[in-house]
Amino acid sequence: MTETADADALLVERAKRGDKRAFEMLVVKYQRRIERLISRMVRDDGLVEDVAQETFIRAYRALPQFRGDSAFYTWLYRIAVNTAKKLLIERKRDPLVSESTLVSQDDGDETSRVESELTDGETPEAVLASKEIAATVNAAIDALSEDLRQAIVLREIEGLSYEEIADVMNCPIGTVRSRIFRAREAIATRLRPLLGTREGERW
Amino acid sequence: MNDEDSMNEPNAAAPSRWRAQLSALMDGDRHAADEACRAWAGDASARADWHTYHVIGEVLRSEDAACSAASDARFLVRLRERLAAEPVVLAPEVSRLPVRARRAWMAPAAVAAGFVAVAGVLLATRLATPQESRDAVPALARNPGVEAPATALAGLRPLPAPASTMATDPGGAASRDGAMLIRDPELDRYLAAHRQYANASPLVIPGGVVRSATVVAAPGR
Repeated sequence: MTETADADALLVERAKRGDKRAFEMLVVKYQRRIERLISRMVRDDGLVEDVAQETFIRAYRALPQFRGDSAFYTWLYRIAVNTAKKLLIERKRDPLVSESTLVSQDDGDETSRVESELTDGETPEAVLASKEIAATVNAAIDALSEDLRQAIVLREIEGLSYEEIADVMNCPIGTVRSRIFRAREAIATRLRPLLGTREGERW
Repeated sequence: MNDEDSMNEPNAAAPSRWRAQLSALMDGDRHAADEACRAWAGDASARADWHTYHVIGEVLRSEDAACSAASDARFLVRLRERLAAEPVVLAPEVSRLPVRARRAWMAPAAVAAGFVAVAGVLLATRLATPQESRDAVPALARNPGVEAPATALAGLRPLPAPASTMATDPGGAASRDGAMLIRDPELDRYLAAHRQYANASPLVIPGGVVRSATVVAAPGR
């Protein structure tokens, strides 16, 4: 399909031209994946967000060197791994750092542990919210018409392009685009209240 | 457009418009990029929509993806503060397509500069041939300051020259038939002289070599 490209490449291209907002769009896209990756390396949950923040800042600085030889996420993934490794090494070397960061890992210190848990995404509330979000999305998917459900599943789960979906569903590309959008909107309508993005936290 | 626009009646149609564009951009539709990026930059609810659509995709692929979704705005706001302090080092420089365009004119320019340099050397070396009459290059010969360096350069002939460049007759042939064989040996001498002057005086720039030779050699003629 001539009119479609890699969405990341479009945004990277803009960010490289100095558009920080385009880079923010990539941040929002990958933030959760990067945090999950880091949380498998850095056991201190309180640090996961810091490392993720640092990862994106480093990625932004290194963006001119990103040539697009690999996928943007692969490149970002490497930066996240290196940032996490560097932090772990620093913690081993610097007794002050390790003292302050290891406390939250110490099971003997209940207070610190609770504080640490409250700052990350693994609090009971967060786990509950996560389950609720998943249930809502699944319920919304089930409520979609067959055409909309098939279109968004082929796109999001199977990763097909508009052109490929058009072939599979035997309809014009414009119809595919519209079906996917309508499916997203239908799910988003149910999801927005849970994400707290309409009132409360601002983007 | 501000954050409240989506709440106002006149802009009621805007969100559905940008949502369609955000959705298309997510799937790589480049035609949607301009409008989607503009919406993101100008409207908080567009940013929320972009986030929501991505969360939907992630949840469809893996249910544990939704962990931090409810507090993602805070992450971005925090990062944005740091990003604001970052210089826009990326901006218009190399990484864009125009690189090719820039090379397109730089290469010929470099070649042209090379030709000019070679032409300059040839001009000097032609004048360096003692047998050549002044009439052969009247315009330049009238200026003694230009002809003189030839003598100066000729005086450097004893300097060793790489055999490879001195094809048949180092120096001699150049003297007999400057028009034909002059090029390599004289270029070699030019380089030797250049090296000498470069070592002797840091003030002598490459283009000035010929002229400074003039000053030295002229009295000797």
